Amino acid sequence: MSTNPRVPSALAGEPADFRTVMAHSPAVIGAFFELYAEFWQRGIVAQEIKEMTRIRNARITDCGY
Amino acid sequence: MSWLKQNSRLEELLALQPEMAVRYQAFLRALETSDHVPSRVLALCQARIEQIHGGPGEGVPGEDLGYLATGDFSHFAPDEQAALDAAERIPYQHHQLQDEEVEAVRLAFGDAGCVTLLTALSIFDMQARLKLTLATGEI
Repeated sequence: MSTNPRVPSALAGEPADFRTVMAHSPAVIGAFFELYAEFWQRGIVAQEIKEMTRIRNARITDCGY
Repeated sequence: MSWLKQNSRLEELLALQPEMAVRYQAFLRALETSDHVPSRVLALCQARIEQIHGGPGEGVPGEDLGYLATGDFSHFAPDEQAALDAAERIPYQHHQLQDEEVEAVRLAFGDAGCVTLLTALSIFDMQARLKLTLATGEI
């Protein structure tokens, strides 16, 4: 697994991270954040449970977030 | 048949959460209508990922499904091969995705295409897992 960004930032002067790399495809990332906000801000499952499962998922997949 | 509702496909189950379903479909449309990656490339990758998860794959001609099932992508065009090589890694080998493989995707589709394709591959994988988890019978 690479630890270096494989795609440069789309935003001049900003380092490559999830937001700036995804900015290469604004329509896609815009739709993603709309879905992600809906997922986190609404729904039947408590945020604490969503966060707990998110962290567990991140640990299993070696994700640093 | 799903655990949640009999004879339901994923789209129907997601409709149980209408606001989320609308945004989920909008997200898929944003990927599918992207100018950066040809729709055929996305369809090939989605079919291959579904095959890796145990399904027959769909959305591309039967002859292509047969080639995809072999895991030998030499039949396909170079840009399709680059995309399929990345797709092959996503379900169970995502940590083995090599810099060179991502670079091949960048060369084929550009930075925007690379971002779009890798996002699509992840969503195709997630969608396949969701279909299996909800037992929709689609895979």
